[in-house]
Amino acid sequence: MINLKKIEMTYDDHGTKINALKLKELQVKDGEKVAFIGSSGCGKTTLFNLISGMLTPTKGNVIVEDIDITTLTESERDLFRANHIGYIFQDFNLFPDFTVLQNVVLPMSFSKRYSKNEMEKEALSMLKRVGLENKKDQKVKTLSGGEKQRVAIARSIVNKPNVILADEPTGNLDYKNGAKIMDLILQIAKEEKATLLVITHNNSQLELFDRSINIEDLNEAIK
Amino acid sequence: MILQFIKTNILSKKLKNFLTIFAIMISLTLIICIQNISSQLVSNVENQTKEYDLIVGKTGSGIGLALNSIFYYGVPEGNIDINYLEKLSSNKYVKKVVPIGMGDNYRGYKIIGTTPNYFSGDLYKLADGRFIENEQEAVLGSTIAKKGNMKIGDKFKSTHGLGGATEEAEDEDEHHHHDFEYTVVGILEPTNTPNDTVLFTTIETLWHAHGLHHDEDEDHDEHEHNDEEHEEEHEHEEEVEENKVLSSHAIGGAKEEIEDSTALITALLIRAKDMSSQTMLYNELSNDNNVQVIIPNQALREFLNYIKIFTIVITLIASVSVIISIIMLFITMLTSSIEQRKDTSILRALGASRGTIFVINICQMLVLAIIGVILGCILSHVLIAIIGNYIVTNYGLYMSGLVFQKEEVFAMLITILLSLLAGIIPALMVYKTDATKYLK
Repeated sequence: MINLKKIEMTYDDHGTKINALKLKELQVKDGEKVAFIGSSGCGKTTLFNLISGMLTPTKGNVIVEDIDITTLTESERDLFRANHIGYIFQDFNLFPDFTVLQNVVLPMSFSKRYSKNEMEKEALSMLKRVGLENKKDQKVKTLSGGEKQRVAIARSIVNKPNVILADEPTGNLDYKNGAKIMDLILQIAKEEKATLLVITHNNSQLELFDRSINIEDLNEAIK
Repeated sequence: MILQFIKTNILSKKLKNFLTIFAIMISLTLIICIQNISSQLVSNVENQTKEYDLIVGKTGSGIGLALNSIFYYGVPEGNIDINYLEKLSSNKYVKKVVPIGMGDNYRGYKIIGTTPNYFSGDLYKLADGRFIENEQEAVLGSTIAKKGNMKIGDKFKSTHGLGGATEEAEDEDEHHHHDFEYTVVGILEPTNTPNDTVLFTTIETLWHAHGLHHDEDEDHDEHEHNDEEHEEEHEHEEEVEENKVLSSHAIGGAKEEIEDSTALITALLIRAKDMSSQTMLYNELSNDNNVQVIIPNQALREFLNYIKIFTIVITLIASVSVIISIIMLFITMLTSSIEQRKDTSILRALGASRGTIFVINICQMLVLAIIGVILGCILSHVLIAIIGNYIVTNYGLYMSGLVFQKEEVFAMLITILLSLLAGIIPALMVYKTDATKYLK
């Protein structure tokens, strides 16, 4: 369960306070697949950053898996993120000079749960699930866009997170590849029984989710 | 995995990191070479001068006399009257006096004429054979024996002149060969001193090589007789006895040709009985206008002080280049930290703490600095070995590439520490990066 209560997020921009997000309540059930839509700058990414603990709200509480992450210290939030959150980005955000396998193994070294042998074994199993086990030693910079996003998907689930946050995961892909990647994300989230939150601008994909939320409707800061 | 991340990051910016490593390596090489070579030079001077307290030679440059008598370097200012040997042998302040003469060479290596008691110190050990006792016998420095593949019983002819430490000198000076042969009776163990690159013979041999033939037995007896008379007048019987025997040996049968024979006493090496004897003797000899007396350690230290100014200037230049390298490292790390803001944000999104990010950046910088320092250390010692080999061959001064000074460890640590300091600001910038700004 994800529960955001009375959230306010204010930025300080050279002395000027900017209200980025203000919402009374948002709840997402365990295993639910939710699409977030809304125009640019409406607070979708800020919401994801709050859920992942990358940002702490100015006011309010963010509860993920019964943990109020607003009460955690920064290093506790880092560890929480490594173990409970899987991130997928529009720009893939992989390390191009690293191999496919190294990219997938990387977040495991931050979760502090695996031995070195377990890391490689687990990462290979994830690569198999996304169909890239035969490219494990290839440098990421040599892959196509679709393949890169597959690596990013494998990386996001390698620590068995409860929540997968995908910020416009198909934004940099063509229609055909985008559809394949979205199907893969949904399938993996289902297999992992993870809660899936996806930011998308593709309305045709909305029917794939349990529900969709327009942040513009919830964010009182921009009303 | 974090180490892998550091390695991949470094390798992905090969040129920039190579230049940084190169700059650190060259700067440190300069510093280590200067420090190490000057330190080994001082150590050489100390080792070589500890045997004798005073040197008496022809009036002229004191440093020249010291270099010539101790390191056999350069051409002597001139020669001194052989009577000084006799006088000093019976001087109450003198414990030991040894004459040295130069004038001939073998394949460019100087032949030093001296007396057997030259070898009485701890510096000389025989690898084979025995020390010189009779005329036309020679004891070889280890380098000469090794390079010339010479052994006990071998015979050779000397060449007139001081030589130039090259084997070609033999061929060039062929028409100056002396007629009689030397026999190798001993080979010294390596001493890592100029003694490795010279040959020793009796001083009489040198005189004879220059045509000063004489009736050795007659004069020898006469001198011993004179010395015995002299001996009774002194309290310090044993030492004087030893010196007088030496004196008679040294003077040999050349007395009737005193003007010619003095041409082959280049210097007298003196060991005083004690510190006060050294002072008294120094004062006494200083008043003699025909000769100069020097304290070798002092003279050579004076020489080292002359070259010290160059050492200081080069050290300063090297230090500036180290600072420039560190600034380069700082700029590299700063630009990297800006370029790596997105990478840092990705790592943060994956769960890396700020501390981990800081450690990664500091480690990256440390790896560059340590590689630069290690390469600098290796390169400097290879250079010292090459320079040392040249110096050993040409000047007999021992300089090894395997000698490590504690000061160079200090220089290495300082370089690493400065690199660490240079890396802290960029690492802190990365540490403070707002990860959410650079993720899309």
